[in-house]
Amino acid sequence: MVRYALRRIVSSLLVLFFVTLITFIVISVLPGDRAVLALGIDADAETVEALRESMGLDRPFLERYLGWLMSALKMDLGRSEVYGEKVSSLIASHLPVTFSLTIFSILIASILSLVLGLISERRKGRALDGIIRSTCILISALPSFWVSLLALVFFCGKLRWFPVNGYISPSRGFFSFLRSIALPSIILALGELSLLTRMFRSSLIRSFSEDYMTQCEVKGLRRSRAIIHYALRSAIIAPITLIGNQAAKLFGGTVVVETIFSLPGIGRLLLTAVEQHDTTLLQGIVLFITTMVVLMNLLTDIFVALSDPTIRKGRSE
Amino acid sequence: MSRVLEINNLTVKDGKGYILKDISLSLDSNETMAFIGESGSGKTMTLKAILSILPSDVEKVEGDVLIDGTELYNLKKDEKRIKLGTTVGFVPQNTVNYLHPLLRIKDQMTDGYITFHGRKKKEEALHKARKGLEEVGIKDVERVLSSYPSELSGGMKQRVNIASALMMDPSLLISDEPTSALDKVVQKQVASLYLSLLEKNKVALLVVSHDLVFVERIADKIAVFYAGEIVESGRKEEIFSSPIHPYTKALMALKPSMLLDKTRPLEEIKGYISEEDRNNEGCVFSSRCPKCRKECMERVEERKVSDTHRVKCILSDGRTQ
Repeated sequence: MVRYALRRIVSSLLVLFFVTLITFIVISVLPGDRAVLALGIDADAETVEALRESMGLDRPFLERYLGWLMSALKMDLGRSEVYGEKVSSLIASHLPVTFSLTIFSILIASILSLVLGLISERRKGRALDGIIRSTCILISALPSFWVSLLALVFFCGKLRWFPVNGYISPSRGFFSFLRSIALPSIILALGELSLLTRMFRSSLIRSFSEDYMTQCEVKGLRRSRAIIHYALRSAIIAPITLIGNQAAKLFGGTVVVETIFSLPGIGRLLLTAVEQHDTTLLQGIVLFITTMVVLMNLLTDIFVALSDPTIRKGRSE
Repeated sequence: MSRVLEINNLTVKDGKGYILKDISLSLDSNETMAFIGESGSGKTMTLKAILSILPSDVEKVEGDVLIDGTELYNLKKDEKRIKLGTTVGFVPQNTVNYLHPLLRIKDQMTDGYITFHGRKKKEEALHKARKGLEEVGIKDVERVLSSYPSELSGGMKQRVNIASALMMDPSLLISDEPTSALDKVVQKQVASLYLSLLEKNKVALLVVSHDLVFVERIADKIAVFYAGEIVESGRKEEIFSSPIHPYTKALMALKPSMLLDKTRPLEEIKGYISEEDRNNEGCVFSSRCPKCRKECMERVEERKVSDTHRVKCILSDGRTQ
């Protein structure tokens, strides 16, 4: 297991190295001079040149890349050209919103899809199974910006169940924080529902038809024990992998919901960086998001290997 | 000797017709009964009916299944679960999928015991599991208990299955082709293991097997199945030495023997069990029977050859020429 984990860590570090290289290349070849963009088109050539020099833009590509990489390793992602603040500080201040959104939405999606998958499996081939499956597909097919706008008008504007916009930090009251984050989390969760429910349903169908479930019946185990300890135990492995991937995807995909609900998260920060041509900030955010995605995938793989001895054994051999 | 299992006129159907028809048999404590017959003849389905694990598209339409004198199908769901869990042990054919791949052997062996005796008896359950594994000839008991199924060989898994089935000291042990998934060496070991277990434990054994040598070694009584019916039943000696039904005779001719003439081609029962055979008003074997007459296709009746020997064949008062 330790060897497997080490191998996965090394391969993740390799992936991250290539990600930094590709990110740096892509951002370097973007049209527009960063110094001109920072100073404006009216700035005189001398000032622009001085800024280019101070930003290190006059140095060769490899030197610039290695310099940026070494700084990044020390958690120094540079200084935002728009905000004038350290990129790492900006990410840290916007992280709680995106982190809470990701965690809550994946929690809601996982619990809801497990329950729906279980009901669907138990009523396999009947009307309720069909209703659940088609409703999930329909909900997931709806564009998140449209659902967000509808939800905003109805639940925030008309019913006033949730605040119209803005984020309330947990330090200002946990309930208020929950209210501010609940609706966007639910909307993000709905987008993940169809895939996860289908995955839970098919895994449960496979698990319930396994011979060990018959053995549970013959041994006289209670139905609840057979379901929780036997059926779910193996049915949960495939969805866990998917949940890990979806969580990673969600982490970098909250832009639309954060924008509509005016939530100051990483997604909105990314949007600002793109709009304002803040390449240092953009570079930092892209690196941060990809690191989180790689990290989540690594943790998912290790967790799956820990819960499945057959995978663990196969991989370590 | 007490009656452990009694089946009276058990009939099971699915949408296409009969799966089991008019099955009757009985088994006393310390007795071993073997079900023989080709695949699809109804042996395993009878076991499933006894264990109340019939597939969802199949239902029991008639008959009684009495375990220790209690009619199983009259019990409520929870009562049935307790009755089966405490009185019947089951050893499956497939050694791989009956053990959960993600659970350690000790958890799988003890959970039945803990269900009926409570969580406080976990140590007692573990002690019983250790004893059970020793009894089935496992030497490194602690390693096996802490193993996952994927870490054990097929023979070892089958020993674990047997030890698990005996955890609750059942009065009836049901075994579905216990040796078919194993290689020849392990088959012999498992067969010997069954014999020694039967000597030590006061348990009635119901076993399904295609291995006639194993059946001859282990069984007291035999039921010959064909197309969902018992076509012949009796004491082992009666079935092996003087079979009456043409199907039983054909089966017995397939039994391997050291005295076989090696130049003669191997025996074969031509054809297969069809849907029509199951729903036949007459003899279910008539479409394949070399002695079949017109009346065989129209009627069949069970004849009593002796107190223990019964056959479903109308030819020559039950004795084929």
